[in-house]
Amino acid sequence: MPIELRDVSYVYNEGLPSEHRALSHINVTFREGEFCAIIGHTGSGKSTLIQLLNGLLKPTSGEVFLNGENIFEEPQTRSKKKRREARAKKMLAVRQKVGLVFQYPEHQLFEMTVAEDVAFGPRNMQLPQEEIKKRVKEAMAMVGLDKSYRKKSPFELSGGQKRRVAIAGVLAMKPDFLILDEPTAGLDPQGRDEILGQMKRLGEEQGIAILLVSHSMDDVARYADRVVAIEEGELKYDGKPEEVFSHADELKAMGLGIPQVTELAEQLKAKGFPIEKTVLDLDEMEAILTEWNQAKTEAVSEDKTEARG
Amino acid sequence: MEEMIKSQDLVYIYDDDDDQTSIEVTASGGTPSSESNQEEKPHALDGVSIQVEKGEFVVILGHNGSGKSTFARHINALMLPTEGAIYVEGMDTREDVNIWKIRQKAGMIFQNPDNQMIASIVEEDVAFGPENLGIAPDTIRVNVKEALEAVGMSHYKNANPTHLSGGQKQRIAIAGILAMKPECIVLDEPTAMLDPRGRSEVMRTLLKLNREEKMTVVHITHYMEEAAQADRVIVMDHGKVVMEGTPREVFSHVEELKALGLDVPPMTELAFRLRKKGIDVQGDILTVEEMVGALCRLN
Repeated sequence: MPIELRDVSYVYNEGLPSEHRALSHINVTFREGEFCAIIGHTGSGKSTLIQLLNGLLKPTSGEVFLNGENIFEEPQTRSKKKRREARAKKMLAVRQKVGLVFQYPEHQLFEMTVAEDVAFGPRNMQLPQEEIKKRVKEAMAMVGLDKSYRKKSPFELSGGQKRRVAIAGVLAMKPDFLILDEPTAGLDPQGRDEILGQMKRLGEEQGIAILLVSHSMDDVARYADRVVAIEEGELKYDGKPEEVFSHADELKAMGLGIPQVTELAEQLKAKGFPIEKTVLDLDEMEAILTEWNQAKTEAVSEDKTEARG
Repeated sequence: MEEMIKSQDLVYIYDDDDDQTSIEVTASGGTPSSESNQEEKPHALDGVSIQVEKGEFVVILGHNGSGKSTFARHINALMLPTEGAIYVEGMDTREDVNIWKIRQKAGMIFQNPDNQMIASIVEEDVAFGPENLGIAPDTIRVNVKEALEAVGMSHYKNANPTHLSGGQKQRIAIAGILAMKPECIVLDEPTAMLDPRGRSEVMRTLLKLNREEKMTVVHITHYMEEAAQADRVIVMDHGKVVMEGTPREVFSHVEELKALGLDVPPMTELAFRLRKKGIDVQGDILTVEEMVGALCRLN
């Protein structure tokens, strides 16, 4: 079930002197099961975009479709009360299907124990007790928190663990889409790799689509299948990482840059090294250079044989 | 070389009943640090002896919970040692009479720029520190002007800080410290919440202050490319200093760093892997340019 933005614009403080157009005429579709990175510098409109995806913001113009259904369509009934109820019900369903994890989500933990915190979402969905328990267990397992954490206070955990509790709280609502706004900010390299690795697995094993807002081009290159780049409220690039990162100069001008290994490949290409494609990770680069080295060594030994003959 | 900061066998033990724990929580501005992690509680710092020379640019690395932030907070007496001592320009942080002098000498910057803006106009925000030190208004005006010039934010002196980008806010916070005419700036992950542009703005500002104004900088970060630009890198783990040296020396220990939950710059890692494959590049490569140079020499 895709989320589709059709010609969506969003203007903050419309009609006031502080009016600010955050997004202009965005057309984009996010599909189930994909791992998509959203990149853009601060103020480019990415945060506005993700809040439109789960109905936290209503487009100034244009429409948002979830599974083909316009999430802001007015219910067809004359009764004001029924309309209000239908709207609320629809929004609840949207928020359950499209889970949003904000920056520094650990600041939003508040319950006495980890298990209660994770249970907050499903409890609000008014699920039966048994189902809630089951979901808490599953969600905690998905982010790699074992049983021993259930009775712990969230506040005695490390930064990375707290963040995983917050993500589990969203996963317990069984969303089809999980949107993460810079989930690794402030974490050390190990914490970063753990969280991103888990998100990647969630996508592959549970079929949950992951939309990752990130400032780290190295992480984007490593984990995403698709990259959406936003600049000044407009969709600038949308494609596979190797396509998007082939626009090195443009990305740098956007204040984003490209992974260092991609930069290395570009510079080596310019010096005549046998590199044809956009290189995204160290493994690939290592393989290319190993092959180059072998070819070089063989050429040298052939030269020697010829010289001898 | 003269010493700016010197710690001797510094030990810090977190205590739940201790008021300092709550100070740490508010001062951190919501840092997702794990210094309060239970396993770490016994010894957040475990015999740390570090010396920082005047004019040095030192980066402290370590995974979350390794004790780097705890150490940083000892430098300007936000936290006091359980055992051992730390001196700033020879002043002992345990002596009450020194505290304000120390805080003026060694200013501190935190992770979240929003928590560090207190006024509605940039100039006023920068003037807050020197005002509190009781400096004469005329001098404050000069200090604020110079501080804003030093961080390249003079154009924004009448702007509202809330309208600035994260990188700009951090530069304003740095200006607020500079206006107190410190000798040293201590920064606890100042770039963690910034985008790549904001990060390089802050890094450029710090390098310029260090090179041109001879400012001593102690910078805590998780970004290895920032560490690569320091004079010296100190690696902490479990409250102890486990490695120390120039970025080249430290990053050439690829496997040890990984075992500590840290990274090395991508080019250093590539050099390490290529050497394993018998390709003869130097092991201490830090940047893309150096890697290109090394490979071209082989070609």
